[in-house]
Amino acid sequence: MTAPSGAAARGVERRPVARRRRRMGAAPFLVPLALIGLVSFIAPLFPLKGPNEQDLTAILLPPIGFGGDWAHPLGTDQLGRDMLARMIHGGRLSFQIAIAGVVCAGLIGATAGIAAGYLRGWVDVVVTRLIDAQLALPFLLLAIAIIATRGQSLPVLIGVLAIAGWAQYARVLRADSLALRERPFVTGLRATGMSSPRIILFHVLPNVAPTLVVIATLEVGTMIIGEGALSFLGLGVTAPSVSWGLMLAEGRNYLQEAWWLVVFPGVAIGVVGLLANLGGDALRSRYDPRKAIRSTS
Amino acid sequence: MSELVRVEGMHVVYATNEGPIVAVDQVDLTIARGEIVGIIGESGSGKTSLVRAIAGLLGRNAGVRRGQLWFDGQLVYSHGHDSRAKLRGERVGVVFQNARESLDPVMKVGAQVSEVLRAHRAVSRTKARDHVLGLFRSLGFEDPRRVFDSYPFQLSGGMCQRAAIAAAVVTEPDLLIADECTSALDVTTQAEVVALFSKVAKEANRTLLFVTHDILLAAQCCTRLVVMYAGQVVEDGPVGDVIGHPRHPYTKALIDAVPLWQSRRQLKGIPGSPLQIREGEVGCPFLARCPLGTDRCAAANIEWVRPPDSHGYRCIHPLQLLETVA
Repeated sequence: MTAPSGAAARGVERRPVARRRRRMGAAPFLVPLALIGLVSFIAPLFPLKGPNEQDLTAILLPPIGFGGDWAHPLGTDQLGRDMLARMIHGGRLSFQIAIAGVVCAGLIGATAGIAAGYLRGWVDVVVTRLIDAQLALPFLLLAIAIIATRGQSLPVLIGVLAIAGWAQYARVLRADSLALRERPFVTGLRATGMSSPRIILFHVLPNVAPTLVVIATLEVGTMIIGEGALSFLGLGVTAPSVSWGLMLAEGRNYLQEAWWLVVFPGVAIGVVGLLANLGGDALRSRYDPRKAIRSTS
Repeated sequence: MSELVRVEGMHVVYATNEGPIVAVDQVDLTIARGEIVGIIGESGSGKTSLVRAIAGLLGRNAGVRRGQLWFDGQLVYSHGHDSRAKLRGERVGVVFQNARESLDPVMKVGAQVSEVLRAHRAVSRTKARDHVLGLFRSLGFEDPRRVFDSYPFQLSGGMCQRAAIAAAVVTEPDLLIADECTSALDVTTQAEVVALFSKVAKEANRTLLFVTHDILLAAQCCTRLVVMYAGQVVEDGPVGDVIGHPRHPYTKALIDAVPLWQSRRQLKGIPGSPLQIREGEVGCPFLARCPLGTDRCAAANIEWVRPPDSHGYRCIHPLQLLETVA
């Protein structure tokens, strides 16, 4: 038997027809997204003013280019707090909430979706009904109901985002697992005496991992926007914590005289949401150009 | 020779939109330890359903309606009792048709074979690796280390098939089932894989069930042939007798349909196509395609006969020795 060289075999396999169309990679979107996240996470290392440090002698200073100076590059708010410091610290909290939400939603959604798709039977019936019920509930209504009854705190906020997001994972991963379980290699694994938990953990999960990554990326954007919406409505982050949504809510009253209070956090939420969505879409087409996952936002 | 597998009255039914279809029709079969049995028949003859029922790997839409299964003297399947899952991987190994598809595409081949071993035996990772590398070498891989660290897509079809065989025999099962596993390979690779199966079976006095539609391939490696048609065993005997003196017209037709490059003999197809059998249908299922069919064939189910001078078959007007010579 003559073995083809590894490179030749790889060359044939790795170039599916659809990839000949040049698609933009995910890097142009995900690298800036990661940079924004990184800057937020290492915020305490920067020589910045505290995000709640007030200076009532310097309120509502405009940013550089609009009459401001380098002491406050993005200007100050109504209490004289440095907008740059608040943007970075706000982003830090927004990202933390979003990532915690994505992870929680992913854990719930992936477990439910894979179990439903692989095991079928009553598990599938229950999970499918729950997904349908979840997708039928308006996000804000659900959030208001939960926060009204459970109180306002960071864990509750993350919980709300996770409950709002799990169904997306579950729906897509259920479909993926349904297709996977009919693949011959799963029968092959059963033939070697592997138990279902083992097949799910070591074979189904790695095979759906690309899908999982794609949804998680898309969900980062959804979560940032969701956190922004809840905080804006006063249901999410509360002062003295800072998040982009909260900054948006607080700056709203000064929109006429100080646009920068609203525009910076608003643009930040928009840009992060957009980068996550575009990056997720690019990842999706990279991993499987034929697979149609409906956008989660 | 001691008995390894005994199937009694195995009846497998598929649920379809047009109603239930009988895939395996009351099959009785006894297989001794160390036998190499070819199970042959056209697509849809029930050969794959039979071996999948033995391994407990029938799909969701299929079920064993009746029948019992003994493995090594133990009852492993009967109504309300099913312990076939314990046999899989431990005492029964299965190799499937499309080897590349039957390996996990995102896991390295060596890891997959090691995993099978580690799922059944308490061995360390390094011990498992050494064992699998040794097994790969004995299965004729020239560079076991490279294969061990390759993904299925990096290997040729034949190499994938070898790796799948490795995964099936790594736990030293008593029974190896090869389910149409040469059909997707080219002829030269087929010969190698068949030789490998014979070797793997003979070395360990392992029983092999070789399912194929290729009667010639089965004749190369098997000691016994079981011919199936429409879910029934229609002929069963030592390979030389079945090929040399087929008694059932279907077996004869299968043999006549084999192309032989030495002979200028006209190839003969079998007219018509296999029937789908429904529950409760009476008569010989081959009647519509049989050159010797009579009204008697349709009147009742055909009984299994085993004359003292011949192997067993299911036909009321078997081919005589003279006819087959001519």
